Amino acid sequence: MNEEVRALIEGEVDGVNSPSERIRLIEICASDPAVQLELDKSIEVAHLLQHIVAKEPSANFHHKVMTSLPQRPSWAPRTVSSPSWLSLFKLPPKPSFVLAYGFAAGSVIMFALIFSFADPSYSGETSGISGTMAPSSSTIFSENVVGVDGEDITVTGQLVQDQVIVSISPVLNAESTIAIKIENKGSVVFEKAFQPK
Amino acid sequence: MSDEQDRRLVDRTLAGDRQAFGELVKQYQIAVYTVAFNVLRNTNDAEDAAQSAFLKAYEQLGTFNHEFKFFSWLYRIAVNESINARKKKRPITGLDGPEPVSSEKADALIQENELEDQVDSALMDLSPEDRAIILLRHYQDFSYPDIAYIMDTTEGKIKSRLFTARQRLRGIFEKRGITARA
Repeated sequence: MNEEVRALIEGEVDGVNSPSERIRLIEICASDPAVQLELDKSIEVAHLLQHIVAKEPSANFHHKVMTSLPQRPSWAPRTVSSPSWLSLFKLPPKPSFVLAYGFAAGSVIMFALIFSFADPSYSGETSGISGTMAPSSSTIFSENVVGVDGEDITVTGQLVQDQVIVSISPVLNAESTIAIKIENKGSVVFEKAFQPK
Repeated sequence: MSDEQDRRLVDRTLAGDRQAFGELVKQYQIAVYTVAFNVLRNTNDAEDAAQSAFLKAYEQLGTFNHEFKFFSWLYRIAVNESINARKKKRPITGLDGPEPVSSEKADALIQENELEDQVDSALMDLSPEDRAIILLRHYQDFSYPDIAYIMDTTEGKIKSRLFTARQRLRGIFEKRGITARA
């Protein structure tokens, strides 16, 4: 039996032959009884294989699976623990938020960051981050917090030329919003909510 | 369950809803266990492999690509887990050759000449991989491309292995006098 005939028979058994392939197979069968016999036997095997039966696991299988699942899979949202100056907030796993805002050098400023997310459980506020604006590019502050899973979360403020750049790493996701409030000598000089792009 | 329903359950699971994954387990536990059993031929081993497959699927769900069907993706994991469990259990057995089954064992499996048992017994003469391919095609009705994805090989090789496996089964059926009219 040649390759073409074999492929046509297999295709017929699996129900994937096109109309023209079926016609071709019928023609071949009509002229060659051996091919017809081969087709019949192949179809019979397929009919027998319809008798494969499903096997059922034990009655408590579902329970066993569910109780074996890890409480915190690798893809789960991350949470952040609270350091002394930082109220509890959680950060989703994705990347970095950068805010640039013009500010006068030499000022003593206080930052308050308020996080809110699509998921209401992800919210929190941090305040008391302070630094003095320097006349050249420098880091005003850099605070590290340790997440529940041991990951490092960093909040950094930098003065670059005349702009304050606040970076939060890992980055917030697009469903998050962050409000940043900046005070200078007790007066609120800047307050705005942002959504990371 | 439709692909769209699966997708929603996957999304809910990724959002932290474990119950959604529980629904996927409920939906596919028989299919996953059946393929594991057909590869391993032992209830305890099959249950361990099926459980391991669901656990791995849960752990890797963050990497699941929605371009694929969840069902096919889960099956791919289940087949791999089952075949790997088989390799660990019987490292000496040739994986591509047929697994020898004694006539006594075969006879014991045939209860009351029921066709299901006869077919089941005949399948035991195939290699675990070929049993999995036969099952994916004739029990789950997966297409050639889906089987190729699940078995991590090419469509051409799947067609070739299907042909060989069915030819071998045909010989076994004939030898044992098993026919569709039984």
